[in-house]
Amino acid sequence: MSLLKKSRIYSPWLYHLHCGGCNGCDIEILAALSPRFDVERFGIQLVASPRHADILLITGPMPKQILPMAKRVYEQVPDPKVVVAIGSCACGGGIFYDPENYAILGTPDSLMPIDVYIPGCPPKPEAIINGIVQGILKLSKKS
Amino acid sequence: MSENIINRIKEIYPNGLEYEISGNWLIIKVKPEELDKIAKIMINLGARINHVTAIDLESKGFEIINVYDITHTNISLDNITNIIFKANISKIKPEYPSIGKITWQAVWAEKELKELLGINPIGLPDSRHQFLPYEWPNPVESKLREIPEVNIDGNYLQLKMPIKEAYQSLIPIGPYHPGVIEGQVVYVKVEGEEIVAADIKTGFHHRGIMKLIENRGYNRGVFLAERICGICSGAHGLAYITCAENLFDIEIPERALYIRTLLAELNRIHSHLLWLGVVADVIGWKTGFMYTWGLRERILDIIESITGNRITYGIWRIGGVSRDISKEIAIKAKRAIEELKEEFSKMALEIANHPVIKSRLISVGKLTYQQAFNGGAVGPTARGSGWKIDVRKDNPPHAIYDQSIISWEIVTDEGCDSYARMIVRIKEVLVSTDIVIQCLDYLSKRSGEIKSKVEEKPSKIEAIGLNEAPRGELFYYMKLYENNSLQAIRIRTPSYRNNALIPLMLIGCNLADVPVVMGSIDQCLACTDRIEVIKNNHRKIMRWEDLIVMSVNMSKKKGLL
Amino acid sequence: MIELILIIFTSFFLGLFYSFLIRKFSARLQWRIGPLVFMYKDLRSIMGITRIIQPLYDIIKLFGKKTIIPESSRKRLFIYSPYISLIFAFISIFFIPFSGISLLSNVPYSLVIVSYLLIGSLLFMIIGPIASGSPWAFIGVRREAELFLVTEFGFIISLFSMAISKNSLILWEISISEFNLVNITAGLLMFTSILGKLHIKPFDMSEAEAEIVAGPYTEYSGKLLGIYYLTKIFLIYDFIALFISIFIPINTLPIYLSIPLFLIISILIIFILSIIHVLNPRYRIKNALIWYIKIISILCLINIITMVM
Repeated sequence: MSLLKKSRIYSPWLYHLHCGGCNGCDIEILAALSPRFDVERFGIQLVASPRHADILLITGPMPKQILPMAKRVYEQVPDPKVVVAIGSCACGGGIFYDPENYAILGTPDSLMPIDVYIPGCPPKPEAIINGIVQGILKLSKKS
Repeated sequence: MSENIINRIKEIYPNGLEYEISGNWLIIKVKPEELDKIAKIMINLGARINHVTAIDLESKGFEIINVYDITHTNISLDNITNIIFKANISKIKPEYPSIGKITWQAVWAEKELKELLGINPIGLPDSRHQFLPYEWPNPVESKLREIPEVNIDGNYLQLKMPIKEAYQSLIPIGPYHPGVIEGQVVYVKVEGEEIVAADIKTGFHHRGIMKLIENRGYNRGVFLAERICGICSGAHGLAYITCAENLFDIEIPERALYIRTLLAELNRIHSHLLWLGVVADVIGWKTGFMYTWGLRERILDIIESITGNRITYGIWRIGGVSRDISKEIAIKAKRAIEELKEEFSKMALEIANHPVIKSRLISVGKLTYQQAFNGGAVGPTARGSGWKIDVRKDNPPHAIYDQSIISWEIVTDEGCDSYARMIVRIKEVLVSTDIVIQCLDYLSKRSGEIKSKVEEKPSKIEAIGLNEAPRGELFYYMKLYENNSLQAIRIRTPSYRNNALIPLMLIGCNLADVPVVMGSIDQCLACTDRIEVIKNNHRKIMRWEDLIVMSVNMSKKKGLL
Repeated sequence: MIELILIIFTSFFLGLFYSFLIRKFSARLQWRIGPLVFMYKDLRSIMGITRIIQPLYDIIKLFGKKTIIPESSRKRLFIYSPYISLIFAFISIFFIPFSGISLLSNVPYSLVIVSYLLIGSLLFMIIGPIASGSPWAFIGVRREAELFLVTEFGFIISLFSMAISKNSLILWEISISEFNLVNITAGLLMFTSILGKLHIKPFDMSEAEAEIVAGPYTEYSGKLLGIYYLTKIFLIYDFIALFISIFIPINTLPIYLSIPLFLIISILIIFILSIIHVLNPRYRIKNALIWYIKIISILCLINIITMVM
């Protein structure tokens, strides 16, 4: 494995994109940073600007109003990048999914390609860390 | 019994006053033209507006509902806590005089009315959209008024200057900003780093929850209600259940009430600890964040051992709760909570006395008592301004909050700034741990039923339910059809009210303080943006660009562009 | 000559090690573990054996990423200023003595050269973001510039009070001169300005995450961001080595004693910096300036008194 690919695995930086979820998944992501789970052990960091990120974490059912902003943030993340959908809502609308529901898109699938799905309402921090690791492995294969 | 308020209203409204008493509420039918005068009387008496909303009665027109809280006024009406004014208006001319021009408390609610139901409150001071984008044509006035141009540089901000001029000094904070993880835009106009004007736009998280609950029925709605907000999910569940149980005449077993209190208070502790961590992070103190989030994990452990979940509890049922607590868990949890209380009270002193924290929070985000009262602040934001309101005492939800059974007190602070709000929350954590310990004492010693049987058909057709969420007062209103299905549900969340005060608090602050002020009211936009848009069910998935094109086409058709 | 080549690697790896230590110490002080020194055995095949060079991985990864250059930026300035900043920081390592090895520090006016190089490096860290056109970068840069001015004041006064009291403008001569009271007072002055220059809390307001996104670096991505990180690595080494060589008299000792002493003292300094970093929330820029002006004027006064004595 080349040093560059190794570095990609060793230093994934996350950007957290909230797409209209209920905050449940978002606080679980932050809980993964807290002392009990401490993802910094593996060099994982939460960054403030999408331009610095490698992995985009998406939560929520994608209300239609947030669409253009979410798309812009996705475009601002430099290649190579991986998108991880966290929670049932981001995976497929979850409890908010209803054919009659005018307000949500249901899933970010049609907006951006998603690499890893983490179901659960909300998923536990362990599951989120596992999903991020899957994302890291995918990232190392991208060029 | 309710003579003096009736008399007062009769003075301006002599002919025929219909009223009835249902539970703790006095329902008065009035004419729509008089709503603003009534509001003036009520506000002068010191009443608080819970919600201003309306229901679509289909062919019968709209029914406007104004709910006032009278527990802090001089009006003594036995056990009446809320007065509900109702007025019918026709669909041909859906208008009534605005309450928002009398008190700021109602402005956001009326903006919502205007946008969602198409009712026009005449004289509303801020007539811009609440949830829809500003560029979207106004549903009420689109026939009368020119539609704003579809471009970003329009002049629709309340900053007393067009954006083009202010380009260098106008800073949009959001929709994505690391200080607040959720999407919203706060426009601030700065001179140097000092803020001279501010404006807020929400609505990015609009998920159509109320419509979904209406479609699914009140029995299944509690799961959706819990997912309005993941942080205060317990409070939402309790408020929903309180509202639904008010439709029935049922007695809830005592043990179930204790379990509810326990979970609601654990929820509050976890939310306040989370808040402390977030504010510490916002002022750049990562250690504080790590410390409080470490403590919070222990609370989540207790919640997980009781309900099986960390964030959403899923144990709220009409007539009780679905899970019991075993003696072993209660004893274990009590020990854990006592340890946590001891540790937290030590750390809280350190936090409260840290010189840099003090310099960052004291006299930042000033909100005086009068401003809080006029603006309709709730929860710790109001209590931090010295206003002693707490739904747990005024309008208790269906749980044990009787001060003769469980000892607790309302925490207030006179500081009127962000620091005062922090002190209120820190003290509330300690009060809540006391309540939790008392509940666990009871639960570990006694046993009993946890769910009573519920009749098939409710005895009332409408009800309100309130609860004190960690962020403030939660308001639920339900109305049923004759055939026992849900006609309408209306929710008003605490962040929705406190958010309306953000522009007020921001003025005069430093730019570095914006996230602190926004954080200090503990805003939760998932709560704020839950509302529905009615009628226009676009099955087709619409993109932003499509929406703009559509709106332009619509206005062209009408010959306005 | 061989020393000059060796110092490149030494300074680079020491800089990496220091920035790792800041991360590790602050994590340990926050009840966390931080980047692992020994990876868990079952994860070694995926996650590598050690994370001591975690900052290096970050930089290499950034070099492998696409660089986005925003439309609104002034492209030439935006692209070249990270490189110029890196070059300044890189050259300055040759002029700072490293534990008894003089390198180029005995050339005439080496003190002036070092101070100019360090100022230049920091200046281009400010100029690049201005060219990016992002409002967050503007605010970040404004704060950075204000902080730069006050910290520079203390920095220069501390350097030149040493020069006056030792009667020399050559860094090497100052570093092997006798230890006296000015070493302590000027050292304190230098330490306070290093706090601001390395963005140790409470003085990290220029890259305040929750307030102004990533501050000056909001628009930088990929390789250019990597270059800034590299510059920071060299700057950490520069400041620590400069501090030790000027104020702590280890350069007269034989090399087998001075190198371990250098390492121990530098780790101690990093530990103190980490404690300060962990214990404090961020100041507002106004408070920080007031704090600096207060502290620096007091320290300057003491400094001058000791110098006259």
